[in-house]
Amino acid sequence: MLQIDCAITLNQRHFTYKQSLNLNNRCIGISGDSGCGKTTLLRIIAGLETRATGMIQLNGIELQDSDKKLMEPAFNRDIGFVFQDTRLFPHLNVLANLNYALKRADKINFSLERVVDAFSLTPLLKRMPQMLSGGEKQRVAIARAILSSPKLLLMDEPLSGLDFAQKNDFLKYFNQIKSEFNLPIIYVSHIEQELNELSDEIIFL
Amino acid sequence: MNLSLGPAEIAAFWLTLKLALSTTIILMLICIPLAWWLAKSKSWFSMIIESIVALPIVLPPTVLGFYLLIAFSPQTILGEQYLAITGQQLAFSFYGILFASLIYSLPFAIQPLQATFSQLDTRLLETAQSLGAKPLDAFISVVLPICKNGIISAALLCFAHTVGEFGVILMIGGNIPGETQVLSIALFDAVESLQYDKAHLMAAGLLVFSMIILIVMNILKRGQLRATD
Repeated sequence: MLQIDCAITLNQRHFTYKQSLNLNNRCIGISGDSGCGKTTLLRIIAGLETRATGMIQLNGIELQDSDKKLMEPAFNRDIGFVFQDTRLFPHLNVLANLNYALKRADKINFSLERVVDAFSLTPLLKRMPQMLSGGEKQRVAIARAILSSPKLLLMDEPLSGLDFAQKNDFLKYFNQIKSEFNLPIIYVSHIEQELNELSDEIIFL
Repeated sequence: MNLSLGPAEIAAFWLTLKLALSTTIILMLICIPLAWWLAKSKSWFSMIIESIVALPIVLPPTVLGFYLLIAFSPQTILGEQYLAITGQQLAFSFYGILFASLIYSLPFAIQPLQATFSQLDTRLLETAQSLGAKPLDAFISVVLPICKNGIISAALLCFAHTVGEFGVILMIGGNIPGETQVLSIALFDAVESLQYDKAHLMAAGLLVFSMIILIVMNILKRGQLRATD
């Protein structure tokens, strides 16, 4: 269960979020118009928006409570984040990018071999991120987030920027995340068809 | 033409190397965190610090040397404490010229580092944190390797600038062989005493060294632009 009661003002725009999400290893889609604050919501949950005020609880554990001046830092939240622009470390090859997450995981829920196999990354392991296609980068980014053994996986429009073939390829791997890794996912997109296909429940902001 | 250096010039070479290496190592340790803060901070206080740090670029070395000479005198707290602890004066000593070099070369280390850090995509730090890296870990594992070429360039510039220091060293250190006589001062000394063979050797050596440093810095700069692109 994820409970959010937060507010933030960014660039003179005020956003408020009051949600109670029953995660239960499901994929919850977040929909809304461009600029309605979907990405901001993910960033607040991940602890990347330190200016946000209010309360966040994940499975009964307080991640943030402004009244108690509690703000769990992002590195302590055990929340994986797949960014729209993948953000692979440019100085590390694919294997080193994956190991970066693995070495910093509090406990290892998924082995490197298992995740590499699940995302068919073996031929890519020695490549630098600059040598990967958009779809390959996104697969590595998701694999890396899973290797950090998160309690919750946040995905911010991972299909944007991918062509039709890469999107189909992604869908195959996405279903694998759901069936093999059993992780609760919050998936943000502004494309309804995509959310209908991937999510167990859709929330409109 | 006698193409060999005397013991005084060789001692000046080793002293210059010692001074430049010490200055570079100390300044890198101070300037990497300071430049990071200056690159990321938007406060008015950081702007003031930035201006103070840049002062030695526009200040004549003799002005800096004069004020440091006064600050090092046994009548001041700094000079008095140094004399009480070591039994020596800070002025006209190796540590005196090292202190002066640290101040004089500070902007030459800070400014390239600050420029490198400003170009870094800070979203990569957010990514590192979302993967469980604490801020210092993220800095060491992400910022330093990506900015490696910029950091080496800053260290080279700082080293080369220290090797070429003249005015401030002469004001603070005088011209004591083995203690404060660095290459640039030994060169001045050789010209003054009409020993042009030695002067040629030292001048040509410094010229070639400066060219090599600039070429290496340009190579590193291109690499850094690719890394932060």
